Amino acid sequence: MEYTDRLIKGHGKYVADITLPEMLYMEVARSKVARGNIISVKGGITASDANFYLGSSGEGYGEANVAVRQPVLAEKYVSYYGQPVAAVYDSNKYVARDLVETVEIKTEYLEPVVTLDQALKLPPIHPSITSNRASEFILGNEFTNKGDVEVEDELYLERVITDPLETRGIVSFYRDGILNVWISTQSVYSIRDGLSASLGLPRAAIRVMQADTGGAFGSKSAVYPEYVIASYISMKTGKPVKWIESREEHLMASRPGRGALGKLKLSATREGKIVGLRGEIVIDIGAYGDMLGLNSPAWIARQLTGPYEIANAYLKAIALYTNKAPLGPYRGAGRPEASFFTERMIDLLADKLSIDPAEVRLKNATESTFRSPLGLVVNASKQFLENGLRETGYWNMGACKGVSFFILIPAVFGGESARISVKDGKINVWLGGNAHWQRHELFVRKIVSEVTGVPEKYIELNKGNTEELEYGVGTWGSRSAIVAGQAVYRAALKIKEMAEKEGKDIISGTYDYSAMEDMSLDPSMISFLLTVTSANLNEVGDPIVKSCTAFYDVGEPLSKVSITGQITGGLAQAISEVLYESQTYNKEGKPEAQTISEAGVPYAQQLPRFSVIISQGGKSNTLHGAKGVGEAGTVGGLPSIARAIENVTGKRVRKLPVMYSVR
Amino acid sequence: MKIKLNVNSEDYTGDVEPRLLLVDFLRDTLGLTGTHVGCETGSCGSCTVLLDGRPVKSCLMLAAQADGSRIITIEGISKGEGMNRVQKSISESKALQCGFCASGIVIAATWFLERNENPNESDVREALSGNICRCTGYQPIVDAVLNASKEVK
Amino acid sequence: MLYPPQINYERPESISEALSLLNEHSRPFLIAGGTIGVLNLKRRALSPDLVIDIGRLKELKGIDFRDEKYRIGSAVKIYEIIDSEFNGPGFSLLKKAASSVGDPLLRNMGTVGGNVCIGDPSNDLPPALLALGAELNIVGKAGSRNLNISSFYIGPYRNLLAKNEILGSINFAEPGKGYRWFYYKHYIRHLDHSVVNVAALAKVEGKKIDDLRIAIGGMSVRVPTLIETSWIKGITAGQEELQRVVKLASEKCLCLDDRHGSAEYKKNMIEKVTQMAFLSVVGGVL
Ligand SMILES: Cc1cc2nc3c(=O)[nH]c(=O)nc-3n(C[C@H](O)[C@H](O)[C@H](O)COP(=O)(O)OP(=O)(O)OC[C@H]3O[C@@H](n4cnc5c(N)ncnc54)[C@H](O)[C@@H]3O)c2cc1C
Ligand code: FES
Ligand code: FES
Repeated sequence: MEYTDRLIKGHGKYVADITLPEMLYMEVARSKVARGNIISVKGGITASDANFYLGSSGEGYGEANVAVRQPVLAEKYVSYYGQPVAAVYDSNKYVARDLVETVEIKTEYLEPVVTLDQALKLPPIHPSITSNRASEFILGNEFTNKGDVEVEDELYLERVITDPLETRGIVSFYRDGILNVWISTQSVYSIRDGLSASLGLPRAAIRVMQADTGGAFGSKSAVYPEYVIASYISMKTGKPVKWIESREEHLMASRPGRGALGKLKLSATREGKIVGLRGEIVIDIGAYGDMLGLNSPAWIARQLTGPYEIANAYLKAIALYTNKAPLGPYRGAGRPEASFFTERMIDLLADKLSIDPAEVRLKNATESTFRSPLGLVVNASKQFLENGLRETGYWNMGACKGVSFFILIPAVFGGESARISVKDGKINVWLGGNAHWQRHELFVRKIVSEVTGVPEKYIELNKGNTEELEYGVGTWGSRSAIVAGQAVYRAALKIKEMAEKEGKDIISGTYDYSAMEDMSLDPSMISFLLTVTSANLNEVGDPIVKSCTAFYDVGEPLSKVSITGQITGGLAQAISEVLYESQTYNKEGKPEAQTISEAGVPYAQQLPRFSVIISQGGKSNTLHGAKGVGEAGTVGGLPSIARAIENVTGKRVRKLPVMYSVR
Repeated sequence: MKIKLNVNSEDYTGDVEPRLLLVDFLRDTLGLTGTHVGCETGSCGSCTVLLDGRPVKSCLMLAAQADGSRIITIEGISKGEGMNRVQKSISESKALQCGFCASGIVIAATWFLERNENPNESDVREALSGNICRCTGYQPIVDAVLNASKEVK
Repeated sequence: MLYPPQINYERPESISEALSLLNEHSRPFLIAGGTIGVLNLKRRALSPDLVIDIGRLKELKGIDFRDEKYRIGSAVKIYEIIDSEFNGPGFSLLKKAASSVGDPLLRNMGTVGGNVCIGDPSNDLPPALLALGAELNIVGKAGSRNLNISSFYIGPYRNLLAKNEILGSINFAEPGKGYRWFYYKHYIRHLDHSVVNVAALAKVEGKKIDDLRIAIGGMSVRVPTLIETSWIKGITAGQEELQRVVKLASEKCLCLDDRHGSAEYKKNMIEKVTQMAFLSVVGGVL
C-alpha cells in the first residue's frame, strides 16, 4: 500500500505497535534532583548490575576524546534531573509502572550548575575534570580594522525540546547470539554502532530494524542509555524487552537542542559594508557531551559569515557543562543558531546606520565565490538575494516586517549508502540514511525511475535495516536528498549498466547493487534562504506573526510536495521558537515544562499561512543536482520572524523565546 | 470488571482492570494500534476516537468510563476497504510526513466536516486545535481538509 | 509511560448511592468527565481507595430554565452548554467561556462540575459564573446546601466542598434584557494555563451604570475573583471610573514571576483585559 494510505488508515507499524510473545516492559527510575551524590538505590537493576558507559555514535560521530563518559545508569552521582538511575520490568506494562514507583533513590544534595554563568564560576560538575569548559576553539585571526562604526550585542536561544509526536521507543530481543532491535530512529547504523560500543558486542551480532518513525528532528539520531538497558535486560532474561518513552521523560531526559549564547561585535563602514566580526559563542551542552555537543560551538561559529563577504573574523567558541540533560541536535542543529546570531547583528547595524536591513544585506552579499576567514566557502549570493527581495514583495511591505538571508549547509560528511535490488519484477531500495519519512520515497522513486526507465509504481523504498544494507550513516542535517540521492543515483546507474551488459530489460532481470558514496562539501551544495515575515499585535498587545514567505533555493527540486511540507513545518517551528517554545529550568535545575503544550509546541490556529517559493538557484554538483532542504524553515525563519516581532513591539529581540524575555 | 462496548460496529464483552485506559484497551486488548499515544496528557489528539459519535481523547479516559458506548477508531472511520473524503484528500495531496498525527486528525476532521458544510480556513484550524502535527506546520493538512469539504459526500 | 495505579471503580446509579460510597470510603475520588481526574491518577498524584464515576448520573444532567433561573447539572458536558439553544446575555457569556475551554475534543469530555471543582485559577467557567452570581447546589448525606461561587474557592486547587459532598448543580438567574457581556481569555501557549481570563456583565440605563460585574481568573490571580464594583451603581462612567476598575483589578494580581510571565507582564495583562472588558460592556457611555 502507498505510504500515506497506510498511515491514513491507521495501518502504520510504529515501535509501540510491535508486540512479541513473552514481551517484557521496561520502566526507568530517574533522578529527581539535578545534582547529588548517590547514597543508596533500592530496587531494580542498577549500575552495579549493568555497568555500561554510553558509546558515542550518531550525528557528528567521530572518535571522541571525551573526558567524561556517561554511565548508562548513574553510578556514584547524578548530574541531571531525569537521569536514569535504575530500571525495572514486568510482563504487564501497568505493573512495570507500579514497580518503578517503589524504587528508592537517596541522594546527598550538591549545588547544581544551571546557568552558563554558574558553569564558568562554579567548580566542575564531574570529579574527573578541572573546569566546566568542555571544549574550546579559536576561529579566524585577530584583526585591527574597526571600520567607522561598531555594534555589539548579546543574543541567546533558550533550550527547545525536539518533541516529535512519537516519543522514543525500542524493542530489543536477544536470541541465538544476536541482538535484534526494532526502533524509532534516524539511523539504524548509529543505533547498531552505539549499542555495540556500549555493550561491547560485535557489530555483526546486532541487527537493527527501523520501525515506522513518527518524527525525530534530531532526538532519534543517537544511542541513549535506555536502549542499552533494554538490550541488557533482554540479554539477561532471553525475552523481548520493550521501552516506550513517556512524554514526561522526553521533556526531562531526551536530548534537547539550542541553549546557545552569542556575544558578538560587528565593525562596518558608514555605508554598511561589514569589515569584521568578532566575539564569543557559548553552548550549554548539559551534563555530558558527545562529539556533536563538543563540536557545536565551533560548528556554529564557522557558519557566522553566512552568505556575506566579511573579510575579517575572530571568534572564540566554547562548550560548557551544566547539570541539565545532555544537548542534542534539533531541527537545524547549529544552523538556526548561526543564522539568528549573524542576522540579528546585521539588523542592529542597519538600525545604527539607518539603512534598510535589506540594503545592508545586499551590500555584503557575496558577488563571487568567497572563502571566509573562518574557512567557509560560499558561492555568489547577491543575485539570489536581489531576486528574492523582488519575488517576495519585500520592498512593498509595510513597516512591521523582517527579512533574513542565510545559508543552509547540508551535513554531507561521511557520505551515504544505498542498495537497489531488482527481483521478480520489482525494484527494492534501501537507504543508509533511513527515511523517517520526510517522504524520501518520493525522490527515491523519481531518481531510480529516471535513471532506469522503470515506472515508479514498481519501485519501493524500504525502511532502514542493518541486515539488508550493512553500512550507512543517517538522516539528519538536511543531507538526504544530496547524499542518499547521490548514492541511489549511483546504484541505479550500476544496475542499468548490469542490465545493458546482459542485453536485458531491467525489470525482468535479477540484480543487486550497494553503492557507498563518499562526499565532501562543495559550495554548490549550500542553499540560500531568504525569508520575509510581517507581524502584528493582537488585542492585548502581544506580537503575532501575520505572514511568512520563504524564497528558498533547493537546487533541482526532487519532490515539490515533500519540500514544501518540510519548509512549512520548519517555519511553524521557527514562529513558536521565537515567540513561546522552550524548556526552562528552575533554580534547582528542574525542567519546568511538563507537557508538550507547556513546552510550547504550536497548534494550527496559532499559525499564519505560509508562502513557499521554491527557487532553483543553480543545481548542485551532484549527479541529480539537488540541495538540502530538511531544516530550511527553521534556519531561515528564526531571524526574519525575530526582526518582524522587534519592529512591531519596538523592543530589540535578544533572547528567544520572546514571551519569556518578559520575565 | 466487566464491560460491554461496540467498537467499529462489533460488540465486545470482556473483563478489564478498572485502571485500564481506553486507549490501551483499544490498542492492547483489541489490537487496534491505529490509535496512537503521543503526549499522555490530553494535549496532542493522537489518541482521538469517536465515542458515541463525538471525538474524545482516549488517553484521558478509563475503559470503564466507556462501558456501554459505541466507539469508532481510525480502523473503522471509513466503511469497508475504502477511504472517506478526508482520507482521500490527504492521500491525494500527500499532505503527511511522518503520519503519526494522521489517525487523530482524520477523526477530528471527519466529525467536523459532518457538522460544517462550508468551513473556511480558520474554522478548520480551530477544529484541529486539539491535534498536534509536529512535521508539516499544518498547512498541507488544513488545505487537504478544506479540499475534502468541497467534495460531495 | 503514565498509567493509573490499581484502583477500585464504581459507577453508582443515583446520587444517594454515590453519597453512600463517599461516606463508606476513607480516600474516595470522584470523576465526572475525568479529564483532570484521570490525568492526576496517571501522574500518581493520588491513591484513592475508590474511584466513583458520577459522569452519567441522570440527576446531575440537564440544562433547565425555570422561574428566570438556569439550573445546570454538574455532569453536563462543556459542549452541551455551547450547543444549547439558550441565548440570553447571561447564558451567552457562559457559552463564550465554555467555548474557550481547551479544544473541541476536551469539550466533548469535560463537565461543567469538573471545571468548577478543580479550582485551577485558569479554568474558564469560574470567572463567567462569578459574574453571573451563580449559586452552587451542594449535596451531602445530610441534605443539600447552596453556596455562592464567590465564597467557594479558598486557594489554588482548594474549595469548600467537603470530602463527602458532591456538587449537584449550578444555578443562576438570567440577567436578561439590557445586559451586555464580555469574555476574553489570554494565553501564551495553547492548552497550557492561561495568563488571564476576564468575564464581565453590565447594564447601563441612560448614561448611568445600573450594574457592573467583572471577574478575573488565570495564572495572574490566586483564585478566580470578583472585583468590587458595587460603588459604581448609579454613576455615569467616565475615564476616572474606568481607571478605578482597572486599578481594583490589578490589585488582585498575584505578582509572581513564572512561566506565564513576569509579575509586571501579568499585571499589565490584567489591566489591559479589564479595560477591554469595561469598554466592551459599558461601551458607548465613554
Ligand atoms: C490538555 C488540557 C487542557 C485543558 N484546558 C482547559 C481550559 O482551557 N480551560 C478550562 O477551564 N479547563 C481546561 N482543562 C481542564 C478540564 O479538562 C476541564 O476543566 C473540564 O471541564 C473538567 O471536567 P471533568 O468532568 O473532566 O473533570 P474531572 O476530571 O472529572 O474532575 C475534576 C475534579 O473535580 C472533581 N469533581 C468533578 N465533578 C464533581 C462534582 N460534581 N462534585 C464534586 N467534585 C467533582 C473531581 O473529583 C476532580 O477532582 C484542560 C485539561 C486538559 C487535560
Ligand atoms: S495521547 Fe491523548 S491527547 Fe495526546
Ligand atoms: S506528519 Fe508527523 S506529526 Fe503530523
